[in-house]
Amino acid sequence: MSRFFVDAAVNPFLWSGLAAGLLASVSCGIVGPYVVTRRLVFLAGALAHIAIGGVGAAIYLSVVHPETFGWLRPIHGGLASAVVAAPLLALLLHRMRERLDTVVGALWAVGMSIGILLIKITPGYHTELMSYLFGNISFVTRRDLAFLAALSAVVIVTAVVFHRRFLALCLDDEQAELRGIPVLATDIVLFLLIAMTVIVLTQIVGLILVIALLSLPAAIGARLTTRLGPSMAVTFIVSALVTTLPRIAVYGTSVSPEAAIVLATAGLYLVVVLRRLPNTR
Amino acid sequence: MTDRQPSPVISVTGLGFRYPRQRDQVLTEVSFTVGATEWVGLLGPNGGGKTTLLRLLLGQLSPRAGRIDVLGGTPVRMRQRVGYVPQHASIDSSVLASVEDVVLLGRLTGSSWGPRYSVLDRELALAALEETNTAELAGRAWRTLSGGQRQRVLIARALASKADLLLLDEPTTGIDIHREKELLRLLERLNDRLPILMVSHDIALVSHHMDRALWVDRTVREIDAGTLNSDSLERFFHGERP
Repeated sequence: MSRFFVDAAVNPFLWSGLAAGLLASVSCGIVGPYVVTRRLVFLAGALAHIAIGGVGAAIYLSVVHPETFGWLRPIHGGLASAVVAAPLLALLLHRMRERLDTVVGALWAVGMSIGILLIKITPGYHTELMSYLFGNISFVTRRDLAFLAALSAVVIVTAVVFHRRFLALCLDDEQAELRGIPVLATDIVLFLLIAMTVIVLTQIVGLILVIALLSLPAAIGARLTTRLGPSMAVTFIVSALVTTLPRIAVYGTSVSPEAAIVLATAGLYLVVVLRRLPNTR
Repeated sequence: MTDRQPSPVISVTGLGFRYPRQRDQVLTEVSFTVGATEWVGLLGPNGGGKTTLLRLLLGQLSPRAGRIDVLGGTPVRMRQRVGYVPQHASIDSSVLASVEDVVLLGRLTGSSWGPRYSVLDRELALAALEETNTAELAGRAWRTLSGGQRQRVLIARALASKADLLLLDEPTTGIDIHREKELLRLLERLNDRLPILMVSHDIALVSHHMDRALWVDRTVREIDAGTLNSDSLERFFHGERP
């Protein structure tokens, strides 16, 4: 562990990796409890995997048409496809409740397939792709940090403005509609927040593992608290701990920091469940 | 039970409804009224159209034929003045919310923005909890409440919205006899100032507490709640006209 801090004195990437983890924890702390309480984990997983289609498209365009799309980075494609898919998934949630899992499962697979197809026909070998699939917390640039900070700011402001409406959807969407809340439009906003959070978390653990960070810290928060607000605080703290400590602990070893983060989060969740902490009054 | 007043809070005339892409009418030629101080029961077989009728009265569905007036306007326009009380099981029992959070949902409107409710909203929510004798539960987690407590809290939520009419969907389902009596005493008290339309399968409850009952089975027919018993209900189930 001490080696991490020795190296951090000369390697700014180590600090920016930790900063990315903290930024991701903010989004995770806000959006995770909404996802878990409204039971949207499966749909959030679909968003993450549909984003792979966008990642593939961005890599293809930037390599095959560099004069026009040379500036395009995989994370831009991932964000664009997640933002486009978010309203579609919200619409499916409202219009296709009976067959929702089948349709969402199909979109999940189609998104991934498009990504794989485009990457396969793109000339050359793309190490960047692996970063987006499995995360790359060791090489977060200042530009990445600025992008993550901007997304986190959007998530915070939107959640503050919409919190009562999101809480109403989590509690009783039928009653929310009767009280004059446009339920579908509000869900679309919530899904857009989930899409942005998925992209922020991609930087930490990759698209494949993103769902673990989106759901497990919030599930721990739900076990330890009884209201959405305190649950967000606990989720933020848990996210901050698990994106920081495992990264430092495995530094200099052959253990992947991204896998260590997810396994530490899952282990913590298991401990909380096994201790049967009371649903306090 | 109180003296009857003539002005109806619900007036339904020639109502017909069928769901899209379905041939059969769920409701046909439905006409009835509910007076301003009445407590009226909705009885009928499963699939007879009770839930559909409630959804039409709440403006969640639009009639294919006929006319519905609720509190002098269309259901959609007036639905924020209607307190709808679903079965308590309709809210996820593991939801992260306190009782106060649930009741404050009754204060939410289409112009509610930001993270917090106003002091007035909180006062009205607390007053509604006091009226339903659940004020001591305000800080409790929703998931720790019994079925009877949850049902009273959902009634408090309807009252917090300053409703002028209560629509209840089988509020006594899954509640023990002691809690059911408490709930009915509460509804009797509320009926002194609010009209109530309530779906129920319990004929004893309907005959003892309500002014009138409506039999819903594709259409709606009026039953004298006082004469209702298991024999007459059995005959209605087998198709005899009330």
